[in-house]
Amino acid sequence: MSRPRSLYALRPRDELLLFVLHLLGIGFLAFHYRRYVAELVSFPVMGMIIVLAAAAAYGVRRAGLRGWVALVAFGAVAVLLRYVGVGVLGVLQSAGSGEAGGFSHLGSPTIAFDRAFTASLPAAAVAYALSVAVLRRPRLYAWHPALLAPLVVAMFWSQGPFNVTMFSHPTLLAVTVSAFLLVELALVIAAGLVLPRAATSAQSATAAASVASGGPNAAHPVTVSLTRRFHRGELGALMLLLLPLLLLVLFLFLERYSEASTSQGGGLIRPTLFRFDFADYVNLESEISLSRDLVLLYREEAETERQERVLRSGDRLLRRFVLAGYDPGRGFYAEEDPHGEREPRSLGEEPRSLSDPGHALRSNLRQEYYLVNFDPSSLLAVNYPVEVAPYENYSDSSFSRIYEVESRASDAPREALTDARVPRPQAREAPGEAVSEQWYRFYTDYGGNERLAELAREVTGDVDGDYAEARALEQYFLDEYYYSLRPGVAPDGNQLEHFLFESRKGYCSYFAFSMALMARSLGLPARVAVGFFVEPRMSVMDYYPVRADMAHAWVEIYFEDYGWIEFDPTSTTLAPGEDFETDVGMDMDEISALLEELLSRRNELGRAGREDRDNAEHGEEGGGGMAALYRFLRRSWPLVLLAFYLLIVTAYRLRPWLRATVARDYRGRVQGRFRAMLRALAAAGFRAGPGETPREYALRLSYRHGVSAVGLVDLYLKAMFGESFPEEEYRRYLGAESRTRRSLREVTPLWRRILGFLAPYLRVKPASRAGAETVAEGGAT
Amino acid sequence: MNPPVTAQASETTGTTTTGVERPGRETLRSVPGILVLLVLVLSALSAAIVSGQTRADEAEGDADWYAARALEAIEAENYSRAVSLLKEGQEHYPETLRLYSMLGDLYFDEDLYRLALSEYREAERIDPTDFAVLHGAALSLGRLNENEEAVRYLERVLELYPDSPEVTADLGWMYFKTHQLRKGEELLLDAIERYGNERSLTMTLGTIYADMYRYEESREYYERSIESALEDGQDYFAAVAYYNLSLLQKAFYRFNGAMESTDRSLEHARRGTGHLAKGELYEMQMEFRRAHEQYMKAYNLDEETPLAKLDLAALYRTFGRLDEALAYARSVYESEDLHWMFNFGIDERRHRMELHDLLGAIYRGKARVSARTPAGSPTEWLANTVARVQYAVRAWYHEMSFRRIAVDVGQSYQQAGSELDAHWTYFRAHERYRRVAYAHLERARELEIDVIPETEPLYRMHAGELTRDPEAISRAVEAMHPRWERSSIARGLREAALAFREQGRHREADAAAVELYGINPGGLRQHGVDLPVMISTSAVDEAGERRLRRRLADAGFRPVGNGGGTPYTLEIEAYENGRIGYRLLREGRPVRADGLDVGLDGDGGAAAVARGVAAAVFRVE
Repeated sequence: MSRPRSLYALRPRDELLLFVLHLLGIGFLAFHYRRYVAELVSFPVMGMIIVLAAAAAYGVRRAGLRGWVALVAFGAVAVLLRYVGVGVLGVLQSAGSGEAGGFSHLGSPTIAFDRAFTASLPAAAVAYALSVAVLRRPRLYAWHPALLAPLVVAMFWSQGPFNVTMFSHPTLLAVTVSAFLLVELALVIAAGLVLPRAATSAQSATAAASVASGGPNAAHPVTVSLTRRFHRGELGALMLLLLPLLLLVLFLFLERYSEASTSQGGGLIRPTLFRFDFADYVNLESEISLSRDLVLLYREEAETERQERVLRSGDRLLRRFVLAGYDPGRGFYAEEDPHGEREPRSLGEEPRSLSDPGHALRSNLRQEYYLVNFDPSSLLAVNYPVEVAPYENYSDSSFSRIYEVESRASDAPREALTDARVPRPQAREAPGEAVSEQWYRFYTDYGGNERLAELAREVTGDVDGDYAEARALEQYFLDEYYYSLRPGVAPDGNQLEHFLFESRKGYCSYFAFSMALMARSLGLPARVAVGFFVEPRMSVMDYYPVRADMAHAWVEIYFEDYGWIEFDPTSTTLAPGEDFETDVGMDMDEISALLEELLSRRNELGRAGREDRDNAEHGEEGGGGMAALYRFLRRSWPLVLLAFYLLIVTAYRLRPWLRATVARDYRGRVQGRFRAMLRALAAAGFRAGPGETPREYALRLSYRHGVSAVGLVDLYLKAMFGESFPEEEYRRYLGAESRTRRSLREVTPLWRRILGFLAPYLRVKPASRAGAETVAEGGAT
Repeated sequence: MNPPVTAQASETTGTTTTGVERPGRETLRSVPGILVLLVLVLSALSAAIVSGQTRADEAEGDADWYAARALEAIEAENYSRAVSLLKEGQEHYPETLRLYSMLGDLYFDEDLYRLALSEYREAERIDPTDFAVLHGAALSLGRLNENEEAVRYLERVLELYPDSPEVTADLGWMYFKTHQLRKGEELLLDAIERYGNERSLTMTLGTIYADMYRYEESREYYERSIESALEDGQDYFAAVAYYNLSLLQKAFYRFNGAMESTDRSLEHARRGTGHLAKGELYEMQMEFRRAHEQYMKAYNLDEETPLAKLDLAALYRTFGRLDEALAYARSVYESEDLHWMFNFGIDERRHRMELHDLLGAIYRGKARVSARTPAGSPTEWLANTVARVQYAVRAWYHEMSFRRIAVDVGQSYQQAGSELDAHWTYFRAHERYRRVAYAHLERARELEIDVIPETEPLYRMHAGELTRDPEAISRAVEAMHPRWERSSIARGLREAALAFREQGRHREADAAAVELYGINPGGLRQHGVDLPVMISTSAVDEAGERRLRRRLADAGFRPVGNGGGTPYTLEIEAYENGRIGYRLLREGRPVRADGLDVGLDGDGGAAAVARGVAAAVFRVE
């Protein structure tokens, strides 16, 4: 067997550096993989197995085995080791296990070996295969992030369906991923430095061999210099490609988490960049599951006994916002109504008062919200909120935001609303509330679904009065339909009709959608509200934990004098065969820790106001610096990303200029400026061809493209290889550079130059101009 | 499989921790005596303040003032106010024990045991001998499943206050929970001698004897506790004692007695665990509907523990309804609240062990069912394969976790001197490593048949499984009780079918599979056992029939020719309207029959029909 041939002749020190960085990248993967199997194997043991696998890969490379042989050998050795290990330990253990004591005082070596070995095997196999690959093909070091990316994606992808929470907080995720990116970046940079040198050594070795054998001398120093530069350019382009790729992956992750979370949050809530919030539109999904993550703690002080009863009976609904717009293709979505009325959605930084519409049969309800895993800028409030007061959070708080809301909440008993009527536009001249035609049409748009309207008429056939009709609809759903997390897939894709007429089972969104549309078809202005319900049995010290699976959707119908009144048509009867329970159990450790913190530091809370504004100037408003950072990033992340991208591109373009500026002599300055010029030319599409000498390159630019570069290149070569390079020569160089720039501007349109600046990794086609420059322009060196 | 006595969840009434004359052991609202006492003490303090010695505002800042205001807040259920007051009081009077113990009690009442413990520990710093504080800390530790630490606290309390029957009973129970059976026996025998037939002591002693496999003593003490409870009209206590007695009787193969005790238990109080015990007895007889009914009753009654959910998950798993089994098992798995264990003879490790075992079996079953789900297209095949791999990986994870914890549990039994339980648990942990498992099984058999000779066939069956000897399994199955050990018989038939098949003895394998189907139609596919059937079709062309046979073979059926030794015939008919009808006949008598809304067109149609037929034929309702 012979050693594998490579285009690269890596020095041992360089090879070790690259290999160690490669192992660090693998270590990142292994560390996170280990989270899945934490109960089965300790990280040191797994780390040892991985290091052994990497060492085996190194040995295989030294032995010069072919790739596929190396992989088959690994598989065979792994299977053999496992069976031999289990067999030998089994024999030893069984010899001592019949007696009391025996081997068992050591636990079970057989099981310990099997679980550690088998659990580590996937990570070891990956480490081995990748190590074999990079050792055989060192060029793959430059593509290392691309090799690991699918594995990283696969690992994080599985977070959706699995129940392993890798990171307790998004900051940890950000820090860990940043560390990984840094390692990979270091690897790519190191590869960029080392590989061209190794390629050069290989070329020199080839050339030397060629000279020794009387062949042509291929390794001209200038060619080597350009080769090196273009190698780096290629790697730089790769790095710049990584950024959009990373963004794409992040986007996919976000979508993935979003999907998983939407189905886990009762089909209603989705993750924002850092926390959770409700979606602006709600899908009717064929299946959802329930995540039990704690979202917030809630506490209230009611003004009347009737309000207290609302909480105790489980009817308290904390509204996030309303979905007033309807489109048959899109379902219900958040939109301002024609009166421009949109419920307050954002908490804001300062206390504020909201208008009290003065509806009847409402009383004051003071609520406190302690957000744990929910978008800190979002406002939850019982309808109608009239005072919103964010609290000044204490430092190191576990709560992302704390605030208080005063609402005018309905506590009207049903009998008091019997005569309630909805406003209609034709009644404008008649006594009662006037609404515009447009407003009424907006809130009674049901998409013209006649089958649904017919059902609504059937259900309310023998009742009289608007409120009675609304109640009849609500009762119909409560009596006739089932609650289900698996409403099933509609064969024709119409989930709503499938629910109404076929399966008759669904989760809260189905009920709210259906009732709102049926109410609209009867001329009752209705909309869907989303938020959380409060489970009265979960009270701990008067605080009510609210979990993600308590996300809920219900219906609001507008009545004259009383405003928007809530109806909750979601059935509590489980669909046959679905015996899951909506239990009230909680992670008491988490609740205890939060309550301990809250109860002991409650006196540090204060209403945000002037002081808060002062703090805000120092980036410490409610929720502390991190919360402020979250809020800023959440609002402005596209801008931040764009700025980051522009920064990198600008740095790329400015680096040679900086180098020229700080150079000690004129040679250095010329070198930096010439490199900057090469980048400008490359951005416009004029790149040097492989093996092209600078002068050949300059001549091609002049004759074929009309870019005056021969003089510039001659002066550059003089600066590099001439005996001296005084100031006047430098001034001549500046003049030649100016001519080259002018001619480049002439042949390259502005948009192309901008594109070249913004995306230097794009290989744009160079512009060509009829006619050619004369040879006389240049002059010989 | 019939686990030893200790695998059952013996229960205490919790009376060892209730009804005591100390504040804050149980909820203040539910212990009026404690409340009255506190109100009296603190009213006196308040009265002293109001009586004119000093004005209220002058008294503000006094430790008693804080305690009195906090009590008022508690009475008004304004707990956060009470906490603020007590915390404020602690800041001003850091050496006033009462402010800490009151807060500890308040947290304890609200099930915030970690917080309660931290307050009790602060109080203990001030006075390390205070009875209420030390006992409160011990009970908090017990609720937090920190049993060894709880024992240390209780031993300290008993050392300081040796004349406390309540603490004695608590310590006896914690000795049982930590498998220190000899210590528990000595302590309780001594206490019974001192305090007489105190029922909480006799019941705990009965439980300890059950754990020591001393049936007669255990029964005697259970009966003494029942007698005492009935004399005092304590129906709830009697119900719990009857429940524990039924567990004992079941473990010692006194099945009729166990059923009777369960009925008695339910007569005295409708409790969730009573229904669970009854359901388990039905499950042993493979009576799905009756067991399910009992478990659902338990589920509706029991809001505290996940035991009903666990039993439901296990029942669904046994009968092949794996989706439902998974939903219940995962719901328990994801629950972090374990304080319910305090009153049950189970600890966190054993609970986790059983959960992993159950989840591993469910996922393994799902992987096998996925492998027996015919695909009609490459997409379906891919989806099936991905699902199968996913389920297999999860099954492996839970099986390995089960083994890891089982080894720990086995060691803890061994350290406590419970040799039989240790070997039995080691056997379960090593079932995949046959040589090791066999050694532990043999040792467990030697120990158990001395105390429960009826377990002999069960051991022989497991030995046959490990040696892959189908004859040995069959002989063991024949020796089992046809009614009460039907669950074990079903397992034996399954293992015999698989072992016969491995040896290429298909006729015997088919016979075992047929018998198994008669007991539990849901027990075949999830374990990789195929049902032999003769297939007859009508109005289906030859190519269609070939496709259908192939797909049915992929779906868990084993098509055999006439005289193939199976009493089952599967008739499939294509109707003119495109629907498919099927009938499963046993010796000519219909067992299952229905129609399917799928056509038999192409490979996809055949696969869909096979899937539909298999889903119906192997489902248990």
